[in-house]
Amino acid sequence: MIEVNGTPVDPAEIGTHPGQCLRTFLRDAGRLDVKKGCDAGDCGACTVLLDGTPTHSCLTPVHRAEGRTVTTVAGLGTPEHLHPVQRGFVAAGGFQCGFCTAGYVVTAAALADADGVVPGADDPAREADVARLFKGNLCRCTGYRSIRDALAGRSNVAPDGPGCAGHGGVGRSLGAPAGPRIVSGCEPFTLDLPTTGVLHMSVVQSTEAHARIVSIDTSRAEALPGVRLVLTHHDVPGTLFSTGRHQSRLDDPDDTRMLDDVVRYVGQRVAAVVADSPQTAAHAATLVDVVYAPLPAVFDPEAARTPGAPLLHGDKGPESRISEPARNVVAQSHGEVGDVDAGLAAAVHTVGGTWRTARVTHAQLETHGARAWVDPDGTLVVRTSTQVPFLIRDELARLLERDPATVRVVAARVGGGFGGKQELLVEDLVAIATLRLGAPVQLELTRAQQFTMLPCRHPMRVRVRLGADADGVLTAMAVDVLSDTGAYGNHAPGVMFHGCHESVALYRCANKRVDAEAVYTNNVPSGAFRGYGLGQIIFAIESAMDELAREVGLSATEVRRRNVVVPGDEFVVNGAPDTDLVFGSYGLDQCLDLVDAALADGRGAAAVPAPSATSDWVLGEGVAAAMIATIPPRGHHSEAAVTMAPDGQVTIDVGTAEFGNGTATVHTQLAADALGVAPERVRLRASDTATAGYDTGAYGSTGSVVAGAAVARAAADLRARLDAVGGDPSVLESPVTARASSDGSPRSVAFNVHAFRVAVDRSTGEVRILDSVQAVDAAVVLNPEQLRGQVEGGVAQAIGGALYEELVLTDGVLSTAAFRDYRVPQMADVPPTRVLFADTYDTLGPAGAKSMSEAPYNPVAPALANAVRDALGVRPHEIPLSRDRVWRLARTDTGVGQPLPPALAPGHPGELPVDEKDENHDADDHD
Amino acid sequence: MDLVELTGVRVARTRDDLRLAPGEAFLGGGSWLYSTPQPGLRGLVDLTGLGWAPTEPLAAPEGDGGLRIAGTCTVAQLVAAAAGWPGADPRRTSAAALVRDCAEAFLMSFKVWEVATVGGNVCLGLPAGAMISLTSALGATAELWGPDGERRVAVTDLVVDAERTDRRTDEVVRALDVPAAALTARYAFRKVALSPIGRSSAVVVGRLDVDGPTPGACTVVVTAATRRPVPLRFPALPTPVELAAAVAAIDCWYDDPHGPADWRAGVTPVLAAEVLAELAGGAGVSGPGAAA
Ligand SMILES: Cc1cc2nc3c(=O)[nH]c(=O)nc-3n(C[C@H](O)[C@H](O)[C@H](O)COP(=O)(O)OP(=O)(O)OC[C@H]3O[C@@H](n4cnc5c(N)ncnc54)[C@H](O)[C@@H]3O)c2cc1C
Ligand code: FES
Ligand code: FES
Repeated sequence: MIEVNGTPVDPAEIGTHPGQCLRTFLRDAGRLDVKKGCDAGDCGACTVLLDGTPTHSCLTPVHRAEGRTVTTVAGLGTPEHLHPVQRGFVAAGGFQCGFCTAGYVVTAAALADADGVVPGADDPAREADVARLFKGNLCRCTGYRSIRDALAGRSNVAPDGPGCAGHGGVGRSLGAPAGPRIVSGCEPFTLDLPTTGVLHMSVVQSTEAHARIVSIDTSRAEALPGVRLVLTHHDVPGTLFSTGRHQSRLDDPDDTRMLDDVVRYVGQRVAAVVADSPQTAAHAATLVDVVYAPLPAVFDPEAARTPGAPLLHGDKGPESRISEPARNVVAQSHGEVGDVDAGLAAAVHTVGGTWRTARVTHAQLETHGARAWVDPDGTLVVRTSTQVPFLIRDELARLLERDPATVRVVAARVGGGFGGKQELLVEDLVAIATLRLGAPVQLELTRAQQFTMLPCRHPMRVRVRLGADADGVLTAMAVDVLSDTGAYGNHAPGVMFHGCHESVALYRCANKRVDAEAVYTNNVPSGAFRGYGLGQIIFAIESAMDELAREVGLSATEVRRRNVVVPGDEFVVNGAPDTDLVFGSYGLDQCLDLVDAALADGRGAAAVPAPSATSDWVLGEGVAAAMIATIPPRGHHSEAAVTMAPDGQVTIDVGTAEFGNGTATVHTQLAADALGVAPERVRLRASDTATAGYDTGAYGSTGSVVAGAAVARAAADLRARLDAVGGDPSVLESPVTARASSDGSPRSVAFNVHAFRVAVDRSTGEVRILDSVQAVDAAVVLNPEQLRGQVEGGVAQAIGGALYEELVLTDGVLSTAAFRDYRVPQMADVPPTRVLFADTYDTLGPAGAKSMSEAPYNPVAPALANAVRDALGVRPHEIPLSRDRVWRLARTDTGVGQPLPPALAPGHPGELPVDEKDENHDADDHD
Repeated sequence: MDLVELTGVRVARTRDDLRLAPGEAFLGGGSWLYSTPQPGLRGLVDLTGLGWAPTEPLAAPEGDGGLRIAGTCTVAQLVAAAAGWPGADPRRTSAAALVRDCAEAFLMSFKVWEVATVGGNVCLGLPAGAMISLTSALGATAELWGPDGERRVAVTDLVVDAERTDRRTDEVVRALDVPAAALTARYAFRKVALSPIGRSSAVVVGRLDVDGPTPGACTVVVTAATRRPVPLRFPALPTPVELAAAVAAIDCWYDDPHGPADWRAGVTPVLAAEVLAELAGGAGVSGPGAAA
């Protein structure tokens, strides 16, 4: 017997597997509030109390729970009667997607006092101790500040209840409507459904980087009792598609098959096994015998586009829309405005260099997963963790040759997206299996598969050359980009074009040239990632701008003031200017002033670590700017319906998905404001293709500005109709619905400027952030606490990419396929960031607002690199600025410490080849 | 995670239960076994059923005043036991602080301390094995129980390479025995990782004996940065130059995603110099800020 939340549970009755852990047992027993972020002990999402002691249930053999008591987050409190810690998380707004929350609440409950405050959490002197206690809990969304507030009993959200009626709350820090359910574990995420009668799928992955499959022997797998089906490339349609999804399916190359007879990276899907239990499916997957005939592979993008390189998609024709399959080039852009050579020749100052970004992963706490079944009326239903339910529906219909009207795609609350769920990655397999078997089929990816199988952020090599006159005004700007898209081209064109767009268009310069290519390699595919290419190229351009400031003798903000676009300017990259991008508002000038003022107050400078006999700390400051369009180009559509019932209850139907970006809250606020009702009276039904009007999806930060605009318009229309009948819903005989749509054009621009003050220890390479400030121009702030959270979360994720995170691949094989090896920032790694708002009103966005969810990521890495440059006197050209890289940088110039032992010095992967070293020191004066 | 190929778990109650069938392995805390797929693993033999005392005084005569740490002692149990040492014997203050520092050096949080065992950590032989750092610095000897008898091996000899030990699969780590002099020695601890409190990239523990057979002797043990624990022994506190020379002679720097070998070789001397300065300064107790 195991007592679970006060009720005895008999393992024999539930049925256990000999190797089962407590986490999956609890879920089998119906405790779906116990989450899985890693299943490996690293993330803490699965924490339960075992006889009162907080325990990672994924590490606990179920036999060890016999005779003991288990308390899950739902056993601590209910939405109506929250535990004090749960109240604290609601009051602080201590979550975004909420997938990590159960683990935090349970861990904190074991530590907290009667008021729900974790001892020490409210004492600034003990921040490090609290971070140590929570080193076993990862949150990818918040950046931890709001979680720290929750642990300390600090409140951030506006109080609700009466008194707010008639003030829907635009501008108020309304808490997420799902808050009480999230903190008590009863908000269902994608796979939080009973599993009775459900079959489970497990995926077999390629062990080869490039190979033809000679044969697949499924007999050993099929012989395992409980196995129902094994799917290989023989069993699925050969239709080519792209996992990357966009409003126009033509944006991405059709280069992928559901299961292919050629594998192009280690980790690619090769077969799928369906069985009665997840354990049997996973076991059977190890029994599928695949014989490969290896093909030559290429891992370096420069080598991949060199004549003679092995071709990844050389067999594909023009219908696949690959730019040059014979050169492994999936997309390219080459163009010039003005005359760059002349601009450089005329320049007084020129600077340049070559910058590189590593491969990083989204690390959403909820892994990808989907369940499919067929409704009695024949509709194929797929419930999946996606940002784009309508785009998944349309492509599934195409792949399965069904009428889209017979396919329904539903997203529940999504446990984190960051772009990674703008892809079709699991839905096709569960759909085909359920159609084959006639029973519901579920696939939940493992954390290791998230790392080895799914798209990551495009690593890029970016070469920049800038010329400027004596005043530091740009005369030439040349950017050359090489993007490694890995084995498939999903999002390769979009990321490349977008990456080169606002980064270059930010600067006014008569002579610009951009050459960019996205290239196939036999690495794990790259895909959509927060910032959509901008972050990589901004890292290079903003580093070069910093170098220019030094050359000219200007401050980092002044060189930008002299060169950034201002209202009246056009947005130019390497061709004709944009036609649908406008300055809906302009707050970049304010952002630059705000960070100047913030840095001037010297915060953190006094906290420079004391020098010792061996440590060798130096100080630095760095700034970088970023611009982003508030909506992706080429169409983004949303249709919303707002319904008022006679009892005053308001329902919003909208297709966009909530994954922690806070759109559910914003939509509620916009509708409540327009209708003059309290937000508590508003209910949201989202992300279901059967109930909502069309929505392109929650990508490109559109949840507020496109879907939100549609909601605001529908609500305003409803208001007008109500006013026509006197304004009081009680006179209505039946509910009234208003519909509106939004088409995402024209588009505005938003701005972010980040500044850091750092100390760098030249003896170890440690970078300590003493102050972090981000000024943002999001125009009207709809929900200050939520916006602050979005910025902090973006900054934290970017600090991860700038200092810690890196997918390490050697000949296509990943050696960082678990959180213990891939350093997602933990609480101790994320310093507080001061978030400052520019004061503008956007003429295009709903209620004067602009989007702000990808953008905060983009200026962080260059600002940090510029600060490290300031401290060390040597410029970094590569992120992450891991301690080993910084340590090596410190050695290149200043000669601190011992010279390298000769055996270790040359040819290390972190070292640049000699020719690029030269290129990276070419800041040269022409006067 | 679920160990999908497992067909059974046995809870060992007696020494006879420790004979492994093909495909079986011992289960300590399970914090590593259940954290990653275990291809080919058919059965587990749970050691916690043996009821070994987590820590106990070493039997006299040769062990007089020493400490026996059971293979099944959890990190949390060891931390709790050590917290009581200074009260019982102030000379053990520094050793107690070392236990705490080593536990904190783990990537795992206090929640995993509750299950992870000292024996399991030593058996894994990971360079970042903080209990390897600890027991190496304490000069502990492992008692191994095999089907054909017992043997004793110093921890620094048991761990032979990254993730490789001299233990045969059918041998149980019964205990790690710590001599008395180790408990009264003075220690200094330094660690560095690629993130502030991340998985260790280099750990250096300095030890200065106060009593026992070699008072005044100094040992500097390098772990995490090296493929195996490297004890550098000196008859007395070395000079900075002597220590630097000894560190420079190390030939087994480790390279993995937690740090390339050149950097580890570069920062280890920095940590070693700090450790030496602290031991020479006489402060003697490694402070909470030590884990930079
Ligand atoms: C979040 C997290 C962080 C971690 N951080 C670290 C870290 O920083 N450094 C590190 O080294 N490890 C780390 N680990 C790995 C692991 O948890 C520890 O090494 C732990 O000490 C292993 O002990 P255990 O008792 O849980 O071992 P188990 O998982 O039970 O066993 C580990 C191995 O040792 C064998 N074994 C266990 N006990 C005995 C015994 N008494 N005699 C013989 N064989 C035995 C088992 O058969 C198995 O092969 C981490 C794990 C997690 C989940
Ligand atoms: S799921 Fe258990 S710790 Fe991540
Ligand atoms: S809120 Fe923490 S992971 Fe999303």
